[in-house]
Amino acid sequence: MAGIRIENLAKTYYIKDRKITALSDINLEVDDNSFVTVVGRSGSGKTTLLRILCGLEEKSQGQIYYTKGEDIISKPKISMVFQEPRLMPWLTVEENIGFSLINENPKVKKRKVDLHLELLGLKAFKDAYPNQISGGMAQRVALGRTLCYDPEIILMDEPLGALDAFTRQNLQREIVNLFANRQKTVIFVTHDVDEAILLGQKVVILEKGSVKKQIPIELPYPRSPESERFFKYRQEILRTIMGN
Amino acid sequence: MTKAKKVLKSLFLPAAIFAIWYLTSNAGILNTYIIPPPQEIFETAAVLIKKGTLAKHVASSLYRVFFGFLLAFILAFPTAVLIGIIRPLEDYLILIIEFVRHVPPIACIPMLILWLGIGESSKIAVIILAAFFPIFLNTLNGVINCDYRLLEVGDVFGFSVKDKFFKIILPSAIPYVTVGMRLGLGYSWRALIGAELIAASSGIGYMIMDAEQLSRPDIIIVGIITIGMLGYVIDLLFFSLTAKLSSWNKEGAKSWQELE
Repeated sequence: MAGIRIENLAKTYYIKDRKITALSDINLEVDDNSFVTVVGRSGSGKTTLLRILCGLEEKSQGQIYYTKGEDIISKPKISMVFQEPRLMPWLTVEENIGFSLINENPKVKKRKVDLHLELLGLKAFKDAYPNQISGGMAQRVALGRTLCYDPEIILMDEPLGALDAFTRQNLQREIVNLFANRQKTVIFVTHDVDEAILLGQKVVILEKGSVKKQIPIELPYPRSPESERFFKYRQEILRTIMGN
Repeated sequence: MTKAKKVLKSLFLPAAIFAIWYLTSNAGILNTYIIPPPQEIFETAAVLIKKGTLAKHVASSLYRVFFGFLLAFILAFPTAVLIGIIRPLEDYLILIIEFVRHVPPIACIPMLILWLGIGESSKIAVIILAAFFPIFLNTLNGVINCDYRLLEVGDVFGFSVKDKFFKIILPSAIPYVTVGMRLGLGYSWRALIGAELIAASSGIGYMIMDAEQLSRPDIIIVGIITIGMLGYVIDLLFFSLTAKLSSWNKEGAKSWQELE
């Protein structure tokens, strides 16, 4: 399993000769098997950070190391869950779950897919096409697809952002359960402060492309947003983001 | 029930036309030398079918369409995929493509006859010209319009270029490809009849042309009805064969109607 160490990471790009700084001077340590949430306003660079980490965009400066304890290792298997489910519309739920396993032995593939269909409660929908299922269901399939790929590091870019409050709560609970006993490192981006506290062992606050603060959340799972300590964390994070 | 109703509705107008045709020509309002009455058409059709003449001409037209269409697909599909993937190629080809696209295949028939004679090859060349562009342009469209967000899914799963092509680009282009093939099939059918009208020794177009020289309007009408019905049947067959392939894509089904 793997963690990530980010040093002086920066990302700039140009729109019509105007330089835009998306990320600057990011220093961040993500331990192996930890669940880190990243919050910030829109435009704070959350998505860019994830896109660089999984190789969809090039960094402009800085270093990204992958770690195992104290050692630096070569780039592990990293994957990403996007804000939209991005399922292949021509494949059924079952085929979408196994989408990443192209060179896998068919028997092993079947076993893995069945396992994840079961795990995410999608068995009854396995023959449905993406346009026949709800948004929450589709995001569940997207999550299952990534879990089936079995990466060591999972990046999630507001995967629950487009869902209604009820579906969202259910999925938050499921994500806690899914990762509680799995050897995975997760970086979960959200703009929802409650979600960040509910899920993360550490909350990283991004602002204008830099890390403003990192707050370890010392609450046992499952967490309740009604508790007093939860409330205090929320206050602290909101104050940091609002800047007072 | 609704399906039967639909069929009934669609039969209403043809039935009305036949009825008016029948009544007017038998009442002596229409000149039966120019437009023979329906019963005469049926009789002629029966004779042509019985003698095997119609089957012979239909067979040679169908053979040309399918052979020419197959060749057109073999040429158009890989070219479109290649240009779709290697975009800079488009800059080199754009003028030629736009030029040839706007020349109707029928305009090339005299040249093709000079080059290839009046045998099979000139007909097949016409069909290739007619079917190439719809297949080519729609396939190209499908390949270049592949959703980049789906391609990024391939990226985050570590897909190779080959994997991305076969697992994402190609399947997402299939509705476009089938639309192109369907259009191409229709175009090649029309172009073929044109070619057979100009120079041929068999085929439905030839049968019509021959009937004109013999002053047999009944045979001409049988020929026209055969062309229309066969074209429709071919399209229906092709659609039912490929509908399943692109059933997930409602856009594809829509764009076909828009194109037509």
